[in-house]
Amino acid sequence: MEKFKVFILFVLLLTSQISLANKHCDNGGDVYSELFSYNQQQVDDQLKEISFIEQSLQSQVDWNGGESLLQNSLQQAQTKFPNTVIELKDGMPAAFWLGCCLGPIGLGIIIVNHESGEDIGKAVLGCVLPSTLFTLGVVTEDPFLIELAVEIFLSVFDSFH
Amino acid sequence: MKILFLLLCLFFVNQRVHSQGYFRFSADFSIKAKDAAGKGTLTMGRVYYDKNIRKIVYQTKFPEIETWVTADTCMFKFANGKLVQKAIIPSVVEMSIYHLALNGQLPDFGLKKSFFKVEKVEKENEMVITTWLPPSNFANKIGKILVSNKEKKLFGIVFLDVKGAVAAKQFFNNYQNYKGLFFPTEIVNIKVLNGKELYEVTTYKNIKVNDYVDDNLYNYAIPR
Repeated sequence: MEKFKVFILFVLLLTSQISLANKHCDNGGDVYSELFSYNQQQVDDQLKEISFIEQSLQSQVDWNGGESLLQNSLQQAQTKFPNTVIELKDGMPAAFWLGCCLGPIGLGIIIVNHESGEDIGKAVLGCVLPSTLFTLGVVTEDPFLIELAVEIFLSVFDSFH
Repeated sequence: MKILFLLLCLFFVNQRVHSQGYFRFSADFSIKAKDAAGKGTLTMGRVYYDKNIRKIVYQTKFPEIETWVTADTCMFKFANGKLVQKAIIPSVVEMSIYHLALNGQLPDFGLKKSFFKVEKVEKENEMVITTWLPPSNFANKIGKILVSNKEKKLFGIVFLDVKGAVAAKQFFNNYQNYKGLFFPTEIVNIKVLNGKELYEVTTYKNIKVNDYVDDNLYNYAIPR
């Protein structure tokens, strides 16, 4: 009977810990609602030409004619959007390079984990992080990555001098 | 009492096993984006990932028919079955959405197992928002990360710069259930550049989980 009581007490303690962990601070307002929102219409408007081409391609069954498919879809898009110049950039978007949707800051998380785990010196970090970001920025033609790389390099450089 | 204790143990073990039962993911993908110069990007194809093999394999159909493989610290590009490009990159596989989803780590974006620390957890309406701080030696380089969950699913991530301004956002929409694995079929990336928002939208269709068709594609041959 004593053992049973101890067991019940253990279960109660365990469930209370779980419920305490789930009890979050409720700020009672809408502080984050705007932060975690975006304008879907703006997204649709910015990507409408690309979406049109995407839909045209998805309706095609034969994928072997890559170049002809592209030209046909571009012509259809030019007809539908006569006042817009549609250019499709060759090469992979950053999300593709980073194994999907990490973005430049997500890459920073990876670098942080990698460097913190191996306790590499600041001098090495000052080279590894910005050079990686810079390389990716050049390859994906992403000015944000390039700018971030330069900022980090300069901040580390300044700390040594 | 022994039977009750055994049943409880079996219950918790079952929960653990169930969460580790997903090991393969494949889907048709489409990535649409526009850069600051107004140039559009459209990439379409199919992605394959096996968490035990740890290779992300993209077979693109548009704009070119190519295969891109990310494995460990390398990225390979193949065309017509031949290697045409190789790059050394940080190991990104374990931070990919596929690896996080298959391992049940998507709700915290994998940050729980990182060197980032929780600053605070808040609740607003139906959202639970966790604020993560970078390690102190990175505090002047990378800002805070805010992760929001709705119904225990990752909803949005906001990346702040060191000055506290929004640098980027990601939203995970339209979750669908695949054999018990919930996966977002639309991901919206928002980058803030010079006060302007640039969008990148990734969509997934024809998702298959733990599938054995196209077995060889999950372990695409790469040079050693």
